[in-house]
Amino acid sequence: MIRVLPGPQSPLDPAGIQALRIEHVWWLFFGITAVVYVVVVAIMLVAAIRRRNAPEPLRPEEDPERERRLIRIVAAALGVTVVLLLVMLVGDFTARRSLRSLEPGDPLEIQVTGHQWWWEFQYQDPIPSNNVTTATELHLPAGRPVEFVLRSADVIHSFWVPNLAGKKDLFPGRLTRLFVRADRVGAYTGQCAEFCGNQHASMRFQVIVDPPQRFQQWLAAQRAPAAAPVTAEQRRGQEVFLGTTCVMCHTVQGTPARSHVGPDLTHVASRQWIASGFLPNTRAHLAEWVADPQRIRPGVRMPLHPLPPQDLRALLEYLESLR
Amino acid sequence: MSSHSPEHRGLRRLGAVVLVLALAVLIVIGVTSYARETRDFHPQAFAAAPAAGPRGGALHAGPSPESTQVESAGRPGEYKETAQALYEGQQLFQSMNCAGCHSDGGGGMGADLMDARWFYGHEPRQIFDTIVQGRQNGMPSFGGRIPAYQVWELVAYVRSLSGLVSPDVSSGRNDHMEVMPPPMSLRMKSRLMVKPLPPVDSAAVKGTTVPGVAIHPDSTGAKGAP
Amino acid sequence: MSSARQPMAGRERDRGREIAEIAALERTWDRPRGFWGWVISTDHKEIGLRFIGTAFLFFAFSGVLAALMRAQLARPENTLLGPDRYNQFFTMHGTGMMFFFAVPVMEGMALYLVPLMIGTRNVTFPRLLNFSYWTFAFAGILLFAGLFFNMGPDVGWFSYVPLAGPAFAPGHRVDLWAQMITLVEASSLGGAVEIVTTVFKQRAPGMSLDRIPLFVWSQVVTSVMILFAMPSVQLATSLLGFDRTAHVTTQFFNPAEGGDPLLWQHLFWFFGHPEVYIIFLPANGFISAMLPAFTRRSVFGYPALVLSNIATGFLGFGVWAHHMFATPLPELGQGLFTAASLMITIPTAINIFCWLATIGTGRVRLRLPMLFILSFFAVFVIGGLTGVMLGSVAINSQVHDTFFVVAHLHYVLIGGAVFPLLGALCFWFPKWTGRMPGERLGIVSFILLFVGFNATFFPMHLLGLMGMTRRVYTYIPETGWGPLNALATVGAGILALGFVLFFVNLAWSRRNGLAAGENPWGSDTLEWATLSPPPRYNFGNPPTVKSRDPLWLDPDDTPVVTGLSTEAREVLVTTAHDAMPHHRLHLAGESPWPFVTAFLCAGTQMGMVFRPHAYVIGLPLIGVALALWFWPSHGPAPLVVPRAAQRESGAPGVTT
Repeated sequence: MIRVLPGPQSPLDPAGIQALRIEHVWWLFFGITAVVYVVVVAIMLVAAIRRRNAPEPLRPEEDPERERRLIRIVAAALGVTVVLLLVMLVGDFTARRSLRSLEPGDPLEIQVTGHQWWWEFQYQDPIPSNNVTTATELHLPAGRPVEFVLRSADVIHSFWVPNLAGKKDLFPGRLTRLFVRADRVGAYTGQCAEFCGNQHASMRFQVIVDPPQRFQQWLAAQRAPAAAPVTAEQRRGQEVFLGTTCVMCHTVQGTPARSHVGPDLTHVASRQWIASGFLPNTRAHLAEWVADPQRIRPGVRMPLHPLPPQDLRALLEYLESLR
Repeated sequence: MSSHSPEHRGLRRLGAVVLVLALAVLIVIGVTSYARETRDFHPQAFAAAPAAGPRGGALHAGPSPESTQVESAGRPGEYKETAQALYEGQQLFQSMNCAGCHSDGGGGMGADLMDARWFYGHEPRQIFDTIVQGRQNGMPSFGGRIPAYQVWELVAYVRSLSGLVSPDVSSGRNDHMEVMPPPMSLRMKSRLMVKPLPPVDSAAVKGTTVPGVAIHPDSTGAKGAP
Repeated sequence: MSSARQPMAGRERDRGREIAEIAALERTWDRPRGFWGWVISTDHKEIGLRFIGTAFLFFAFSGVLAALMRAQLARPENTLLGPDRYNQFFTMHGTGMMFFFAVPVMEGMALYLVPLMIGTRNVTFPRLLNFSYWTFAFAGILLFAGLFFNMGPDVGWFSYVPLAGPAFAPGHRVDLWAQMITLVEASSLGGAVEIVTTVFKQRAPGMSLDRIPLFVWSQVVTSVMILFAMPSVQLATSLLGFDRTAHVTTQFFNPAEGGDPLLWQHLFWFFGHPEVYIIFLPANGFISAMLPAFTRRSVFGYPALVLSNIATGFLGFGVWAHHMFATPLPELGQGLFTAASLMITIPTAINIFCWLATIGTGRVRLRLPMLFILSFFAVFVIGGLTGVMLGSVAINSQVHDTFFVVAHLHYVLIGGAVFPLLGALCFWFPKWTGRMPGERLGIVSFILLFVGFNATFFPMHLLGLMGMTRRVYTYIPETGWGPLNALATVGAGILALGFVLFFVNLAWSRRNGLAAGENPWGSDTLEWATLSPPPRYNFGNPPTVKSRDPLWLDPDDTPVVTGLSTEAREVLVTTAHDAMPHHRLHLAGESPWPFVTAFLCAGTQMGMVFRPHAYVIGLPLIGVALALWFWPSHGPAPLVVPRAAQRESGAPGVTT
């Protein structure tokens, strides 16, 4: 099938059943409205050009026969409009009904918390110690229904992965839910859709849809505590991490760093993006980000904390070992 | 309706005076608010100076052995009473778990920050030292853990809790349960109380001398910031 | 054309007496000279034009902000504006365009044209007119000044709490926004009261409800919508102000204390969606008023158009939740709002079909205003149809808060309101200045506007479908949004050039345009039955009407109204339904107090930005000013003329 505007962040390139159903509604509406537009503009052009600058008549509406004919034409056009609107209304209701019926009894539950300005994901497990917390990168098993439980830590955000489903707001003081079943393996992009302050623009996240097997492997890997530093440089880096500002906000499982202000960094090196999906996770970008986050994303909550070059190098070495 | 009556001439003159006065007031408000509303995400002076290296050990109650070292490093950066500074300070106060001991300013395990009692002084530099060096009876030392410019933001917020900061820059309330009177309502009271309040009964703490911790007996000094 | 309506043309009367009467009218309706006289003017034409001029000033400001935003988005990771400035700019762009341009400019057009179209001398409450203008001007100036003092609001024109609440919006930026919005809506309410009362009580004798010009009908519906919609947003902004103000600190929107952020959205969009129709319906009226002149027939389907306007006015209040489909709302309720959102297409479709029928059966003259009308069809219909898409919950959940919506709303508001408005400016330009707008430069500017508009906003549909969310100050190159954004920025440049040329053309024509004569477009409504520009008293003898198209159909010997005092500002009050003469009304004259009241209101609201004490000080002062404003005057003319005097001067009423 030919896709219009394909891409990793396109509602017209569905990778999940929900987005697919919505796409069908879209094309129904698009088809009807496109035809209506062409007809209206064609009539307008013909009408405007046909008797352009003709000599001024007396009142043309004094031809009662033609006025009656006009009434019939306009009434017919109105009738067609009403029918088309009904078709669209039924199309929308049907789609929503089918979306509703896709909500299964036993989904994989993922808690999503929106923070100014990053995303936190927690995979729920019956055994609490098996819960996995990650940020900025969401892994989903292909073909398995997922229920997102959405909550906000501060202001209103909106959770939106165009290729998978429509958006849903994260509302302070309320829980909202969103069901998604991703069917096509691949990498997609999500973004906050409700204006939430200075760095709203960069509040992005990566969605990776894996085959179930690979997803389970990933989940198991994420459950493990952070890798212990091996080299002297890495040990020095850990010391820097635990001895300066980093520890005040971030968690690294298996170390004393257990703060929940910023993203969990236990497996930060396994992610493809940092800075809430604004920078690819390379060493150069990581260095740039750690050294001066305010230059890249002004107003973000991560403070400036200039480190001596050798400390920064060690810290990067340590962070890159957190696979 | 005539435009030439003396009544109208008087009105016209009055109108002109009022307009000029209003314009002047507006300009004053505008200029002062420009400074208050400035949002500087990138404190240049601070960014230029690399911070000291890591400190060992976890946070613990009371001043830490490195306190002296921190104090000798001085107080980099500057204290600013801008809306942005107070707001960031408020965010830090919650995220750094200051509220864990001080509640939302009402005190609990830690001191009450909304009343007019300041055990270690209410001057910005004194509060800065309290945060950076830690104090007796539980206040940990955050030196090296929080960048100095963020400590100053915390200082501004802490001062606003007891109304020492103009309401032009501090916010009316949090989005939390209201456990205490709103922060600003104590402003007048605190203004009155700061001066006459006798120095803290420091006899109890005098005996305990910890290097780097100075009990400021004159916690009532009401003069300007450093 | 009836010569009876020419103020200077004597019928079979003593010419000398006629001249003396005109001189007396001139004297009676003239306002005091000088700056102060200008300030306290109560002339609906002067104030109407002032509304239009001031609104276009704010339009220019907001447009410059838009251009800067487009420059920032021209390429990925641009650093022209930081997030802080960008947020202030997009907030002020939206606020400026919606609150300080679109509504006031439409009210300005109404205030200028409605009294002329219904054949009366001034609006019912002339002092309220003055008050409305000054509250609007003060609110706009203070709010835009905030931008220069680092106090530009930065949370969007919709100011969603909690982001706009005390916990997340530091400083006084949002306070300024909230208080000034409260103030400017007071102005809109004043204007709406004027239109409603004037239309229902001061129509020319004979102008029964089914002869009211379509333009006037759409303005009446708009004004009634304003009366219901604006209090909602005033309430919301007041609550927000109370939530934010130190010492007041109410908890209306704090979920922890039983408040609710969703309440804000309901209150805001209960105003916000009708607002769209408040902007669109007057434009709809422009088209209905201009079409007869350029198709040489009256608009087809008068009753259908009137009823569809009224239906829009009602349905417009039933669709607000389609702005909130992503929030936790009950599903059944969402279904109802979908149905309502699709249903409101029907009256708009009726409008479009009737206009197409008019064009199709008329003799079209492609003059400059007509080009703007035709572009309305090409552009607005796209906006309307994407609006139908947005009514669907399923589609809305995907494209809501993306650039698709940005494209949609600009197609609706620029295509549906600004293009007809520009056409209307050209159309009534001869009325205001006595000169014709230059056609050639006008057409060049029209082409630039049309091309620039589509180049700017059409790509935004595609950007939205590529996932570009709204209100982002930048984006990364990996998104692939760069090329279309660059195209949109180029388009914005062309659009800006088009606007500049358009106004250069009008400014040039004001001096050098061809002399317009009495009815240059051969139009059918009463505003063309007097001089251009009209004298302060509008009509020497106010007209009466016998049909819907008085200048086309009414015979030359149609009666005129005589017997109104020339020594006092009198208008003829007619009955609401049939417009039968009822009594004479002595209108209030100029007074400094409306201006002073507006000034005090602005001062009080501005003070509330900083301290709650402002109300304590300001409200009593406003009370005093109001008392002086309403103080009974003992002017020369009594309200009820004694019988004897009446007999002498001729009873008020209709004479032939």
